[in-house]
Amino acid sequence: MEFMRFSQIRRGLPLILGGFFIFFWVGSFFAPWPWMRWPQKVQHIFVEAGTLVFQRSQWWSKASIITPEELATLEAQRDAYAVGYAQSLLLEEENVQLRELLNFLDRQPYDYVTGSVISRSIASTSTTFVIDRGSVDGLYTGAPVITGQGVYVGKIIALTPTTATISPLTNTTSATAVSLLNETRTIGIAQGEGNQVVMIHYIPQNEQVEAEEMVVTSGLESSVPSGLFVGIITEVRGETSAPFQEAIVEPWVDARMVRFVSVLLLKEGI
Amino acid sequence: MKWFLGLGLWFFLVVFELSFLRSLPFPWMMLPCVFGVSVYLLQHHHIRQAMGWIVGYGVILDLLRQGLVPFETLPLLLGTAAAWFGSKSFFSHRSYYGLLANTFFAFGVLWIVRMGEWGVLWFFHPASVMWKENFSVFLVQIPLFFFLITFLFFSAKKIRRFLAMIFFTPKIS
Repeated sequence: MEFMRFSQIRRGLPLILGGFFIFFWVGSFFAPWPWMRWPQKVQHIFVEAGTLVFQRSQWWSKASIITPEELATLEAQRDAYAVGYAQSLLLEEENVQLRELLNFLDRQPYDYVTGSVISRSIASTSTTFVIDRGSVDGLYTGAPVITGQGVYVGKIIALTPTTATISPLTNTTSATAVSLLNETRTIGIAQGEGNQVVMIHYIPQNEQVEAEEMVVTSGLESSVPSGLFVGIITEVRGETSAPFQEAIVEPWVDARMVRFVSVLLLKEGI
Repeated sequence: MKWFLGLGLWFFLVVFELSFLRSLPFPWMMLPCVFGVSVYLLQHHHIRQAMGWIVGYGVILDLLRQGLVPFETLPLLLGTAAAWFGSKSFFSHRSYYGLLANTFFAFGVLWIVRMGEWGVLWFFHPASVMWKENFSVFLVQIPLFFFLITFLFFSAKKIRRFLAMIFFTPKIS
């Protein structure tokens, strides 16, 4: 038996490597087995690298344009949030105890699946991204997507067996039922404007809406639970003579910087 | 063997563009890497397989719904056909200006077909087409495409040497 020469092995290496990559990569879109999905891990590493560059560039560009007055305002806001956070921690603790008493978690109709971002779309102001979880993981079109901290990101718009395409709430094609955390708990539809902001239209003039109020999901959509944090109102527009006013909301999450997400899924039988 | 080597390169380019470049800040996120490199290889090195790369890239974009238009394979297919036709019939293979002319001819066809698709979409769903944003992507891609082609043309020898080193092959064309 004659052994292969080194030059033959060398010549065959590209063949093996090329075939190996293509077989696993194309297969990773369709095959349900986890061991076929490692090319998506490679993709995620590329996403991590690109997002890191993006985050660093954002930090440098913002650091160079911020004025001392703006810095003071931001520090004051941070202090206010810190106080609010401390209060929310106390409430959270109390909430956990009350939920335990009510056996609340067992009755929660949502389960979740976590996923990593593996690619993004091209547009500068509206963007979609793809995660490494698909229909074989139980995902379905319209399922809400959140970050690890529970902040609402968007919804699934397309699926393959092993991938899901997500449209963030800032896209022009996205609409989300939201509620304002003001005294009257104003509800409305948040429509993406395509430029990293969301607009809530048709708010009646008699509703008291102000800047810096928090916006959460209202729960009026069957697939999206209530109380997911969406963002903060930055501006309220509308003449007093006009029948409606509108609010501009800055989402808490920049979809271009998201690397990991959780998809909320309705539990079967509920 | 070259076919599989090409597939490996295609895999790398597509992942590099969809995962890495598109995560970068503006304007680098818009660099049309796969299309640019493929048209360059088709025109300058006569690698016909590159036509398949572009179409395959379009299929992946449509599969993941990551394209600029709903059916991205069509403009990419016609852009490729334009590049092949220009390369065969009109433009010089070796000169920098011939390469630029043909790649921009293909790029122009690609965008005309995209505009056509948006036009059809706009006719039925006017709100779903953002002309201003789409046009801004086009304007940003022009200089990026120019720099990419220029970089590839003047780095051809280095790129070939690098690929030969990685894949233990003397040349790729």
